[in-house]
Amino acid sequence: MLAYIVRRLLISIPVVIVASMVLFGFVSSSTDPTARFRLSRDPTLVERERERLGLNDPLVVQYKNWAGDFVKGEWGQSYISRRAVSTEIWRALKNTVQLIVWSVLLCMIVAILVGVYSAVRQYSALDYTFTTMSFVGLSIPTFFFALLAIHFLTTELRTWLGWDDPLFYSVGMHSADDKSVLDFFRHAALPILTLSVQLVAGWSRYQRSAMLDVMGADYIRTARAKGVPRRKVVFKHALRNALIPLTTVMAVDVGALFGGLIVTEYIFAWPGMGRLFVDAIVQGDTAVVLPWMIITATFIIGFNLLADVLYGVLDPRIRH
Amino acid sequence: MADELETDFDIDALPAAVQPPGAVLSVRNLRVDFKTDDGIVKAVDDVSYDVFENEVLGIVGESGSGKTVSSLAILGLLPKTAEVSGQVIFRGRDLVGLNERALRTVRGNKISMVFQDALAALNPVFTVGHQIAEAIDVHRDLSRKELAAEVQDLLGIVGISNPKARADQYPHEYSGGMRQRAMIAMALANRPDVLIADEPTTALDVTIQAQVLEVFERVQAQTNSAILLITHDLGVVAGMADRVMVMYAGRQSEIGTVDEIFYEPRHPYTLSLLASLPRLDRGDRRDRLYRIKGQPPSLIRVPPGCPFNPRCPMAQTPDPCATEVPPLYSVSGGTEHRSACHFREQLAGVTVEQLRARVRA
Amino acid sequence: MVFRDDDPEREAAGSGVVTSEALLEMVEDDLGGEVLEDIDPTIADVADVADGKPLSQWRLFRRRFLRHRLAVAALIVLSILLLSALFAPLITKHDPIAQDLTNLRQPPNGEHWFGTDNLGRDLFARVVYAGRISLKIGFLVSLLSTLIGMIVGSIAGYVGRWVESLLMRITDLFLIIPGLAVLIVANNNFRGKRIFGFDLGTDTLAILILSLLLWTTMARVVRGVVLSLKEKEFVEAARASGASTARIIVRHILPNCIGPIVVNTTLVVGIAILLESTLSFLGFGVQPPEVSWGYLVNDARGTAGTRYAYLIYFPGAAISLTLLAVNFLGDGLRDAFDPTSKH
Repeated sequence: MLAYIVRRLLISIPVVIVASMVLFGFVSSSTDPTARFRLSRDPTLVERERERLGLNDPLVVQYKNWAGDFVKGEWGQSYISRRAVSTEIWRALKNTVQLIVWSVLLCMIVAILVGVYSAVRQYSALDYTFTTMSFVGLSIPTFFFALLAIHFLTTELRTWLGWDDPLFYSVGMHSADDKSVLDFFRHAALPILTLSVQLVAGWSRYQRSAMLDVMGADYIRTARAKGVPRRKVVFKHALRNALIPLTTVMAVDVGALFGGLIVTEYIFAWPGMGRLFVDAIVQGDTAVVLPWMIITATFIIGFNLLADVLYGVLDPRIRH
Repeated sequence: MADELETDFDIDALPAAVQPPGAVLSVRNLRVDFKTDDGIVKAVDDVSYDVFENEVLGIVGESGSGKTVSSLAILGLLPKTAEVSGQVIFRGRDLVGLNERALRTVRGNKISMVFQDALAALNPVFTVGHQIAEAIDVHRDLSRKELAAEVQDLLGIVGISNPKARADQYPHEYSGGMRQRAMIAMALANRPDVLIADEPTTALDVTIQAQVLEVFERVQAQTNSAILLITHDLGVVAGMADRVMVMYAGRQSEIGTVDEIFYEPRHPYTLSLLASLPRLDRGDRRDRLYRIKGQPPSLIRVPPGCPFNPRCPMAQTPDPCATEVPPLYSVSGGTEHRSACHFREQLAGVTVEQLRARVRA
Repeated sequence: MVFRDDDPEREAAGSGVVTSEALLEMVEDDLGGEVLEDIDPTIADVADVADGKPLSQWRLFRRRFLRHRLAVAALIVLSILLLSALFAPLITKHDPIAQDLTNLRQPPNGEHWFGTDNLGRDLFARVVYAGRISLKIGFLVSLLSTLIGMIVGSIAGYVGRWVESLLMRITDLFLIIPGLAVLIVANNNFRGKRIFGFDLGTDTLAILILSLLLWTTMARVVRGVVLSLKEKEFVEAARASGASTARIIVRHILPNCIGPIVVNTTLVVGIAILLESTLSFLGFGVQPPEVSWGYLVNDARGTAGTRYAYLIYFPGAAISLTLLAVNFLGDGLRDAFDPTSKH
């Protein structure tokens, strides 16, 4: 098992390197760190800045220099905040992880329950309801759902309750004067909900079809022929097998979330990775863009790796 | 958990049903229908037979002849879309229509099954030992240690060497023949009265087939279980079975002892099957294999009259073969030899060679 | 999945309900009385329980699709949306950009079905006209990315060797880049610039960039099908008879992967519309005078929590309805092409 993990890990290293090259090429060709000096009255300023940043070197040399610095942890400095980019990303990452952890936990539980129920009671009224809901969930754009949530769960709900403060806040992560856990969840509830809609919809449909596949398998009939009670057939024999594909899909999806909650964080002003990225683009803070992309890609690759490893852990046929 | 052990359900408390003396399992007028979008599929149509203690009853037929469906119906293992009617009498009690809870006390305990493709029929994520132990654990209250010992015993019985180590392996680590042995061990776990084996050797190499059949013979000698052997392989039946039932299009064509079926067949379908068997002892290349014309009928639209009549080399159509459904007549001369053919008596003495010759002419 | 309709026997059999008797008669007629030749003699797997009705593939497909009522409804909804976008001037008499400062932020009423926005523009007209852009982007991206994906996928699958490795590594790369972020950077960078001397509108730019991001799934799908088909007998036969590689791909392989291609093309329409609307919502997509549904939602986002929130509802609902229809349609097509899938 350890050898399997190590082998997978080693395969990932060249992938990260190639990805960093591609992203470096892409970002250097589509962003211009000197753009903000264009309006300067000093005509030599842009040229001096290009020289200082090494932008006149061949791309290969630029990559080599950049990669050397990046590995050492020198990711440059934000043009706007003047803080180290690594500090900015680290801070944003912590906030993003909090959102991801909570919504993934929530979605995992709901998706598995819904998926199992829908498969076991296929074509029941509730199965149809879940199926329709998941289709709707997959079809509502994140930004639309977020705005609806703000409208109904913040404003309308406050009016209905007759409170001064809304039950759920729609901006930021903490109130200025309140750092309690309760306050955190009053801020985090709507972003978590927004993130969860698509995840639950996708995962529960996936789990349903995985369970249906498994429930039709010969070994389920064998278990029934042995006299194993139905509940145990479903939750032991079937679920244990159906979780194998779901787990890998979940791992891959969670990896993608690191670059995918741009919209949610932007709308709810959540100080995470997505917000950091949009702010950087809007403000022309190109120093943040490349490290941001590298880190996000690394998470995606890392969670793909995790998916592989989990597959091996859960399926004895792969393990050997 | 309440449903871990279900010994509280007493099957003998059910009302008694009539069975001939010595019969363990009696199937009476069994019908299985599937409602589909295209119509009703009559997978099993009015099938009745007995399985007696300590005997091997072979059920022979093509795919779609209803042999597998009828065996799954015995333990109520068909999907919910199946409509089952008739009686399945086990030790004097009718199992048809019993609820899951009641059926579970019989499944794997009194009646157990060996399935065709052992790789698919064993759960890939649990060890073989665990799956056998589970079969025991569902019906008997044993300690972990006793369970482990029992599992090793069972693996030993079916001829798996080094059972202690093998018990901790997963199905994919077994060879095809070993997996089928493990399936048999699992089916034997509670010394069942009836063992239903559905094409137990089909997926195996010829040499492995022989070994697995040997296991069945040894097992029967040791446990006295009655065996219901379902197969399309006439050779397997000839070697193993005491009695044979031939099925066609969901119906019984003929039933009798092995000798009656193989040497005095009284149904054209049985004759055709025998005629289509290649014979290694005859090198005459001009003697081509017999081919049954046409193909098995759709079970949604079974031909009127005798279902075999469109393919039958001796059918007299339309009357009576295409108009009248032949019931399972007793055949004169035999004791329990029955045939569903209008012309069963005229078939007396007709040999396979005669059929071949007649068709060639 | 063999999706061919050129078997005359099947055509004959396909007309109406065919009983096994009729089928047997047919077979026997063909053999001209030589009745012993047809079916395999051994008791092997010959017939499926419910089989015996060889309808043509197209009939089967149509029957299965029509049975999927939601998919049929989705097709109707999509058609209506498309037609209203095509014939926008006939649908509404209002000008989507005409401002009416005496009629600011009117709630939905008989004159302005969806109300008016903060400049007094008719929202219904704006949604209908924005649909032109959104749907255009959705369909063109789908077509373009399908084309790229089919070319790459069939070459990779058919040619194999290092070509396949290289092309597949490239598609792998697309899996690990943060797609939305790349889209934002690319759109932000190329907007307003001339590309190869062409002055592209923001919608054309969006189509190009989205297509370059979305072709990979199709490439994988086609490659997978091609790999499984290329060992099949009819391809072997074509190859043996000296057909060129390009001809084999176009004439023999692609027609046989029509199912997965159509399903994926349909789903990409939805993905493209979703991504474009997200980009536009974030302010990185199409720019006025071109206006898409995502732009309209972004334009009105400040009204969330106010009584003017209807300005969000209508364009948001338009996107959701389109995506819902596309997803249902894709689902129905998948079931119709491949009845064994249980999605």
